[in-house]
Amino acid sequence: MTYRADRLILAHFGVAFAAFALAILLGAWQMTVRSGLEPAFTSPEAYFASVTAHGTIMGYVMPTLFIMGFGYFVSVTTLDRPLPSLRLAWAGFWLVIVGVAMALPAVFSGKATVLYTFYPPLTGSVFYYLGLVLVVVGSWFWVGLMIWAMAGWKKDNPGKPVPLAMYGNVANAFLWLWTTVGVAVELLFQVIPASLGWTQTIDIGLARTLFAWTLHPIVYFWLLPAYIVFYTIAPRAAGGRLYSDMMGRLSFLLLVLYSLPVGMHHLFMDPEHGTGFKFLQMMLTVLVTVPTLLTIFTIGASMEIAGRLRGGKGLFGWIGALPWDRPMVLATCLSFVLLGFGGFGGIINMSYGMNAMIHNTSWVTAHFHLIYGGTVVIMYFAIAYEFWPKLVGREPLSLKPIRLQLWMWAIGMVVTTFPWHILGLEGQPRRVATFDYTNPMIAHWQNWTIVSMIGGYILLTSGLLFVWNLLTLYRGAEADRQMHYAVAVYPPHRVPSALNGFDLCNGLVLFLMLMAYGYPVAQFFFIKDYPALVHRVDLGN
Amino acid sequence: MSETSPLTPGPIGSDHPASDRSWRIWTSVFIAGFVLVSLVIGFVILPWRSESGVDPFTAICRALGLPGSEKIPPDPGAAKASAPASNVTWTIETNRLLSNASAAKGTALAKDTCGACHGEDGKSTDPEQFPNLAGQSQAAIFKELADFQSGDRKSDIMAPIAQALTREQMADVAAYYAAQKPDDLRAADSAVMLKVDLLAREGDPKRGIPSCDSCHGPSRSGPEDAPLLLGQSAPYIEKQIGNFGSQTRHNDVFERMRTIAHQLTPEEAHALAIYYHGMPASN
Ligand SMILES: [Cu+2]
Repeated sequence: MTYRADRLILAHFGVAFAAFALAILLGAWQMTVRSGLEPAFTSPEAYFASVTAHGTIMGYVMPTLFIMGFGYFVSVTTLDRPLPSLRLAWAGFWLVIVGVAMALPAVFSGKATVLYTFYPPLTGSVFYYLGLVLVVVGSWFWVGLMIWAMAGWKKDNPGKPVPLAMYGNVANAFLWLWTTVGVAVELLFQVIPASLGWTQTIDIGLARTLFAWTLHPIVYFWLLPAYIVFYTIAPRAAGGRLYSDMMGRLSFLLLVLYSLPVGMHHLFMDPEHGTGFKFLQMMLTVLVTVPTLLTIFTIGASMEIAGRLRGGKGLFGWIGALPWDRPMVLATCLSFVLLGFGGFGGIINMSYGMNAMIHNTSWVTAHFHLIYGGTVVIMYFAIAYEFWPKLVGREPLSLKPIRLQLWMWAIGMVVTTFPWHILGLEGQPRRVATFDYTNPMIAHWQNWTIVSMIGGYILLTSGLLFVWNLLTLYRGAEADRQMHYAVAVYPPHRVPSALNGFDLCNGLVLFLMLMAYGYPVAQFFFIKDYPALVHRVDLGN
Repeated sequence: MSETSPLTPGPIGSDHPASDRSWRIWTSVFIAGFVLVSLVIGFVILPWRSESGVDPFTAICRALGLPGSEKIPPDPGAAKASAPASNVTWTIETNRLLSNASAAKGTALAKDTCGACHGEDGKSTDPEQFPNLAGQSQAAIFKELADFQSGDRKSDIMAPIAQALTREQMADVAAYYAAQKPDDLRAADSAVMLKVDLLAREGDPKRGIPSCDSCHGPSRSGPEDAPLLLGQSAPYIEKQIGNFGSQTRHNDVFERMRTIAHQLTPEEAHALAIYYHGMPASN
């Protein structure tokens, strides 16, 4: 590994985790407000400003910066060549930073309390939206660089399989490009003109459709680094080999295909679409279980190989033989367990009929926190613990606080989100600042809300411990700066071009998007509908 | 996804472009086939089977969500309902009219005409007959004036006054009264039973009655034209609930208030009126 981009990657990770620390602080405060324990803290305006900031950071800022840094790291270490343009990479980074500097002040000043899903006709300060556009445009620089890097490598290595981690990384770049189309169109053609006062009405059916286009696959964009690490780092960390390189490629490809044409499962209760398209998108949503199950199988098998190589015997003996003291192994296991719970909730959400029970309740909030916090972010921690020593050339002082941090995060996630599942089934609405617990009908909700608040503080403690763990790294001993990825049991010599590039993948995505969204989007242009009046929170109307 | 793909571990792929082609073909066939099957189930089989007596074409149109193909049966009362409760609609034009209105221009009108009954400062000279207007929502005042003008709301006193006004004047005078400061009051929750307090704040789901506050409370999150109730005199509120209940008053869009008032007992209407009559906030 001759080429490095350490400063660039550390800048991305550093800002991502600094923003993350702020966002978990806000999260814990929000739970305190909802618990009703401290009525003095309770102001809906402050609450919604906080929820908007929390969602904006956790949804747009932290994962985007993290994934950009992750992508640069993977590109440099797997291809063993410099980034195509370090200057463009820094330009993308600074665009994101400028975007964040525009968006967050608008939120904290109460001028954009529209939540990160910004469903119009609620509209806030234009700086909020322009800031987010810059974040997205900055991330497009990364998309371009990743595609460029892979193309350059392929040109110099004709016929050779692209390293699996890089293949997954570029899959995520294409996924992100497709994903952001929906929200970019919504912002540029609908929301920003409204927030500038150029338009007084907004077609909310179209806006919600465009946002659903983005809102489902964005989760897979966050998730893909975790999957890449399951395949390319976790088996090595466990002391074994990857069971199948092919399964990894197939899973990445299928995740791109089946995460995009499915967002309408967020709109099952919406009136603007016919039942037929909702059904089609539900069917396509079901398919996303295929790459997930492939992954659980392949990683389970890879872990078994590792366990047996370490002397594990019998049907389950290999599990005990795994090196559980290694953060990567522990995090992978915790992430799988939480993915199990989150995935179960997700199957309820995406079922056309059952969705009605839990629509707009705390159940949904619980589901996406489990997937995001439980499955994704815990792997981001593990990735940071893996990459940071390589970036700064220092060993961690001790693995103990690292393991403690991961355990606390997983436990905190369960304690926070399980009560929300229960409350959701009892009908507690989401996106509500406060509840009147003196009302006997909902008085018992308060107990569960307090439990989840405790979970929030466990998460906050864990998150701060994470930052502490990274900082203490700088006092550690000299470390090996070489990055090693997992080797497959049978390393591939040549793979089908469909699994070594993205032509077929993008063609199929285009086809699926046309089928799933072609008519549902087009109908807004020929069916007479009634646009809604824009409400400007920044002007107070 | 392809039958030809080796899903078992081993040296994968080959140097034959034929393998590439079969990947391409089988993946596309699988995906197109899956979409086709889903389309047939979602657009033909399910809609057709779940709605008897419908030809497949209509069933497909419904699954597409095409307007005009809904399964809402023709409403026998449609002719009656087609006479609108009010001519006021919350279009861009109406909103622009209201936001361009000038409270200053409304002052003279309020002093010369309205003030005699409703008070120059919006505090009624006889609140049992004439509602207080100070701090009332501009949209609500405008809508009532327009309804008096069109006859959708009947009043021998208000009809000729409203008929003499232009829409701009109505918007101006509504803006004037909306800007006046009302008395500092809060709901008289201690004067009524908890049941009534709950009715006002939570509604009664068993009877399908939404909370009064959800439209008439300080957040005014209901329809644009819902007036604030706090601070009107109890007899006035009780009379209006009664009028809605007996259909004497019928300028509520979608019959919202008629439906609710019809379900309230006289005791509840009386208690709610006391509740919204309010008490001094400093108590
Ligand atoms: Cu989704």
